[in-house]
Amino acid sequence: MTWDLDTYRSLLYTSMAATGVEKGPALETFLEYVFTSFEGVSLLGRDLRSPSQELDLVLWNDQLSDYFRSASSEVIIEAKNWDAPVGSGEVSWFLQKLLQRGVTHGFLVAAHGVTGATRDRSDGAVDSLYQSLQHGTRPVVLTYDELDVMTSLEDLTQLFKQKCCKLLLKQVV
Amino acid sequence: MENRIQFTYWDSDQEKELCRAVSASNFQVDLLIDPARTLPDRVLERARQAALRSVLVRILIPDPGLSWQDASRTTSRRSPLAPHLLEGLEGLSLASLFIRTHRRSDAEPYLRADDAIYFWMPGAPERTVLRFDATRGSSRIRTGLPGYFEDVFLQSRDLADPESQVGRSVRVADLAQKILSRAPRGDVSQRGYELETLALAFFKAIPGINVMAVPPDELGFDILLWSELSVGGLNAGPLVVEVKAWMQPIDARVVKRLAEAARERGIPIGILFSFTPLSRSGLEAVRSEAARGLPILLLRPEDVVSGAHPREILLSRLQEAQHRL
Repeated sequence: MTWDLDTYRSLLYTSMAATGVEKGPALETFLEYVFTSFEGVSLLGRDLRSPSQELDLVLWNDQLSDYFRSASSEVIIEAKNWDAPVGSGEVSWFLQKLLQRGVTHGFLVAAHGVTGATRDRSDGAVDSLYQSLQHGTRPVVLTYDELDVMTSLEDLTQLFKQKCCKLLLKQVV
Repeated sequence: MENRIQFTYWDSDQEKELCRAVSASNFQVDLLIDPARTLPDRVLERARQAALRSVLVRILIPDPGLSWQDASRTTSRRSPLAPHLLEGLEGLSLASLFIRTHRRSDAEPYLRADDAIYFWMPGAPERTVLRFDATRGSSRIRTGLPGYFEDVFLQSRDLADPESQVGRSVRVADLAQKILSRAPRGDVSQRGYELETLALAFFKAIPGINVMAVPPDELGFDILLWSELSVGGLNAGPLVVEVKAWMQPIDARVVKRLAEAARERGIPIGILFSFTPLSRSGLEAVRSEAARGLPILLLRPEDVVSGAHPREILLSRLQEAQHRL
């Protein structure tokens, strides 16, 4: 898919403005557009359900583009278009999904971040994210505020790397 | 992780802040100088050290007609060079005279690793800057322009400010030679600072490797890199580098600490940058970590002095490490 800034912004703002039952699908539609714009990344499925899990977006990765070159063949996106920050329980569950499926690169898109994101480094959510690194996972938490200022795929790639590095440095993500 | 920091100097109490700004900056420090103050030598020394670390130090002087408060708030206002303010910067007063006589009052001065002053000439061809070497004195002025201009390699993609098209001609081998010659005389913190500077310059010289952070001490490593390369055993993703400026061989503790830091983060390779080789216990620790699937590479200034490209040096060390796995 070819990236287009106007389309990106249109889908993002639609997601931000969505209410009720439309919120989840709107965010997923936006994220599908974003991630499949990267070379070699395509959609495997949306809202995939198994008896024990639900996966919002599952992507196939041909390992062609910069950030995804070292990623697993599958990439998982979790979309939380909540009005409040996502709690550490949800973060842990997201990380479990990555581990169970052998997925290295996962993105938790939490519209308003994760809880304790602005508190000290011993917060559960951040600590869980950090602990998952030793298994080779590279979880990235993204918020609406961060996505709103992106203007290109290069910007997004830099953002992913910077978020990853913040986590490697045990900094607030 | 800032790519560019503006630092406004007006007071000697700010030296610590300047040091922090220089340490935190990934690439460029804009040094805004209060024309009413004298710039102490030690501040200039810090700026030169920043230049050694491949941090570009751009010197900004506000317009004479601008109040200091207004100047502090904007970064875009700068005056033609004022020689009497900059006598502390070696040769800058002479260089500024040269610039004025050639009607290039818009030239921007930068400090660089070789202590020469580089001027970016906005209207000049892209790959050209003016390099003024103070040690050669006034005779240079009389020889005219062609004697000064040098081609400089541009790495504009790394620059936070797209208008700053100053080239990065840090010659890593020369830097390594300089640091090696100074090492026996320096104290450990100075040696550490300079070796870290060399390490940063080394990795920055490798296309596809980006310096992401120089973190605080307690994390177990000194430099966080991001590699876009997938070649010769190197996979794209983060790398950690520990810089050790000891004058005795590196022992097992250092190797294990680095390995632990790498393993804790799922990073597949650790890199040691050191003046000295591994001790016997250090070598055994490297072998042990390799047996556990984590190669630890050792890079030294002597490797860099050879003049081989840093990329080739790194890949060569990787190959050696792969053989140990």
